[in-house]
Amino acid sequence: MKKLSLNLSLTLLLFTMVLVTSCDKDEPESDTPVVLTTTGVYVINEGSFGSGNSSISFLNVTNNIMSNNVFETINGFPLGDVAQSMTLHKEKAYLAVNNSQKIEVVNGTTFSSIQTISGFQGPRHFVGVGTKGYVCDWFADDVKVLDLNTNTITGSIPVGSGPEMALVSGTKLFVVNVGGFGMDSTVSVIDLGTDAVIATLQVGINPNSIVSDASGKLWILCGGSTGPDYTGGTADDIAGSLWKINPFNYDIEKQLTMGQFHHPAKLQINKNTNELFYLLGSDGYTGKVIKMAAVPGQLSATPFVNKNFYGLGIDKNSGMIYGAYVPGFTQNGFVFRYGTGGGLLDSMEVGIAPNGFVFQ
Amino acid sequence: MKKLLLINILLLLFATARETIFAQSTDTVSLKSVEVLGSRATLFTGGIATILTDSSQPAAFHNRTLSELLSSNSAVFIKSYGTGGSATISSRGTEARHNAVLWNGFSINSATLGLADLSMIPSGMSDNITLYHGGSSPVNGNASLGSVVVLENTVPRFTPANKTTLIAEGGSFGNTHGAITSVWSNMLLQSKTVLFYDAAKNDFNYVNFTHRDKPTVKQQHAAYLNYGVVQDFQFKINENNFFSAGAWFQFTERELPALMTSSTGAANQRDSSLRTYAGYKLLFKKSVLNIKGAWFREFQYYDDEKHNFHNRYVFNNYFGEAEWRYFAGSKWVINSGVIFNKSTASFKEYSGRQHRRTTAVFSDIRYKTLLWQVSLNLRQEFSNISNPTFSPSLSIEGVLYKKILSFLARAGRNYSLPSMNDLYWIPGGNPSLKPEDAWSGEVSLIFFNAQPKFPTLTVTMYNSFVDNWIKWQPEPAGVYEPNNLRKVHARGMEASVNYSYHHKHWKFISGIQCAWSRSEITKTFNSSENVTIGKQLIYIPEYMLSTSLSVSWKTFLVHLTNSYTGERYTASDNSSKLESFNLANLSLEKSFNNTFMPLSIYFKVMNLFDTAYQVLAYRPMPGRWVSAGIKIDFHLPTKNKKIKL
Repeated sequence: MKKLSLNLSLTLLLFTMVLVTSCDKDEPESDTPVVLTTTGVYVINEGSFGSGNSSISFLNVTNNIMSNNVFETINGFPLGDVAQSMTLHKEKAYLAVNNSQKIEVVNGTTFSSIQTISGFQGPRHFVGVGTKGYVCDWFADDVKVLDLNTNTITGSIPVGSGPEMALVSGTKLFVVNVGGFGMDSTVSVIDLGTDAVIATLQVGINPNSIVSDASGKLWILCGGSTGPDYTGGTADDIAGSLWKINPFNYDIEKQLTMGQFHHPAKLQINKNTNELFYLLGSDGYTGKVIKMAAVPGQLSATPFVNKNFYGLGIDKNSGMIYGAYVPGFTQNGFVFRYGTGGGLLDSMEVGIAPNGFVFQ
Repeated sequence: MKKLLLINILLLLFATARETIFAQSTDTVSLKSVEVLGSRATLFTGGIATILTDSSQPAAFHNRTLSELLSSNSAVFIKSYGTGGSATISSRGTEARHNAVLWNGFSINSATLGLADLSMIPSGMSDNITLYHGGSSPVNGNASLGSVVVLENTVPRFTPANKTTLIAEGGSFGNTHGAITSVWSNMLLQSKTVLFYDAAKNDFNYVNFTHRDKPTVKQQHAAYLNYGVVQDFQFKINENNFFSAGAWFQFTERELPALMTSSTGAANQRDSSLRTYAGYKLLFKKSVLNIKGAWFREFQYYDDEKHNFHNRYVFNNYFGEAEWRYFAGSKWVINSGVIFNKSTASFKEYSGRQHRRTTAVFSDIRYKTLLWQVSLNLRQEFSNISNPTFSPSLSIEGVLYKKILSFLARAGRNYSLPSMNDLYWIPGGNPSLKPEDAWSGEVSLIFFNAQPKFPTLTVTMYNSFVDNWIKWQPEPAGVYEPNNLRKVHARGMEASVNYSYHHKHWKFISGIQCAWSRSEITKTFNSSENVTIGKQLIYIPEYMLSTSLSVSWKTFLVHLTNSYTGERYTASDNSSKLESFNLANLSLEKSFNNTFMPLSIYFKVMNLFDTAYQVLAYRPMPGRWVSAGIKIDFHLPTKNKKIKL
């Protein structure tokens, strides 16, 4: 009995250990090799806030192969927490990583890291003008000026509350102030020569995106407000609006108010800059794709693509519509592609929470 | 991996050593008084329990935190945000909210979040800390799906005693630790006081691999301070009347560090709480009436100067309980009663005052012979939200072979109520949520032999099906909203081996606990989540292994613990994961024995192998660090003893 029990206990003990140790395979990590081409689409996946899992996906449009997590695979370190946007400028890409308070500068062809610029509070969007860069710093309520030769911050320009996106038009930079955690309804106009605010334009509540059309006119999309408690659909809800502004004399040429509880986001424009696209929903972040001709410029609430997206892009070459779909912030998202007629072409898995596209 | 194997082989050698003398610790309290005066959890929970007595821990690990005690002595996963940061428990493939922590029978899980922060609970506050593995809602109520941690003092003996233990320790990164435990008793009154103080600057160096140049940086904004006092009184009015009362005050202030991927954090969190309870036990010839109540008041302040966030939360928790225990002959015990609980909170995210109110009726019936025990537990809870279903459980324990091999089987229905945040948080809160509902079953085999001595071996297999699993998910409108979205199947195995060996001046105590838990989504009620079906839930390691070894020779003690935490997925589609890691701690202790003031000095090395690891993604953890301290016991004279000086 003594021997038997001992053997039994030994066997069970060994079994348990084998169970535990054998299942912990130390298998080598295999990263899919990334092939970047000059014709491709970058997908910005912001990840889950506070989890540090934002990433970049790259779609090679010649063979339709999507490579995920390209930034970390190429550079050996993760992109950071909440990648907000990416801008290509002079063979370089500038990635605004909001909650990592930094801009990552990478080679526009190889995507290999060049430098990390820190010193921001909540960078949302980068715009390059020659050897100068402008970064909308959401938490700091200013636009930081960068010297792109040294990649350093050389100054800051105070703007409205929560600068979200900037657009160059002529010798001016137009900055939409989305309101931060509260509300704002202004567009700050910065003179690129003096780096000073020369005008503050009043638009609708919480302007969130801006494009310029074929005639050089600016279109500004205002999300409105779901109220201080962000619930929407209640008495304190303010509907969104779309504005057309002359960038020279700041005349308001159009002011279109959306329907009750309508909150648009992510204004885009096609290659010929005559068709506007945006997402229309009720929460201010997601919505269905709306298409609108810049001329005559009439609002419609009928979706062109009837699916809720978190990000939107229009391919400058093919005219294809890219929708970024977020099934949840703890699992990978998907990109859905539609033809110019709005018919679904295909879908691909990307990183967590895709929010936008950059077409190379 | 090699280190892990080495340690296990070492432990295995001791675990199977021959020529052994069994020296099982026996409690002086008679079984009868436990049956009469013991808590419902102790008597009826059943299943496998791990009893962790803080005072039996080496001085170096005495009176630390519950998270530290559990992570180095059991195979449950402690999800920690770092030293001093919040830490929650995950057992048997469940989330933190499915694991209840009971203090004197009252749940200290936050009613607003649903979970308990173990990093704030001093492990020395109660005589015993018992981890009951598996679901036990019919006995322990809400949130008892994965495990229940019971903090309670042993049944009072009312014998004269006067002992005070003092601990003072200092270590790397400004770690300061102090605790005083004082027990005083006479024939009628017993008092236990625990004072504790912990603070650290927590400014350790780590390699920030999320930065381009992978620099070695100092952890910023991670200091913490935690202090408090726990006072328990037990009165023996006469042989049949017992009164108890106690209070627990605590204050915690911590800087909340940023992720490695972000720049310095700026937020601070302050928590303070006052928990009080009182109970009365009335003994009749064949029965016991137990009436008790508690009131908890908690404050939380969250301040972020940089972003100008200032939030203040205040919540109250009230409990009332009446329980009647009847002994029918020597074999039957019937225990029935009613429990009332009301949680209230008033803050702006609830748009005013909200409450959750429950009333439960329960009955436990137990039949026990010398070798067999059958227990039937029934509970129905009623609430102002959706009622949980009727919860029954049946457990059978018995000896299979000559007191050497025994078995245990249990099956039952468990539940977990939605938290007040799930119900009322704006935006998203969903007042129509149903409680999570689980059917679970388990079988254990226990091998135990006293003569000759072999290792004690326990193997458990369990299965649990959870319906109405609550998950916050973005709704088509974009706002996050909790819903009863999933069905989850959790299953696994647990095994433990414990062995002690005593020879002349040598003493070896070793233990191995391991767990395999597979917890996967079997159904979702949201098509966008379908890709997660069959995938392991996030932050639940499939494999856990914890080993400990104590070797003492005369007045010297070496204590080594090692815990292995397997891979954890960080995305619900299992597309990303964190690597497994081993964490070993070592302590060396020398004691100086004398009758009046025995003391020990100790030195410990935490994270012995300087492992770089992450418990949560991009939360830096300290590398190897050291600490040294002293523990002094003052045995003061009592009135009934004459001490010659």
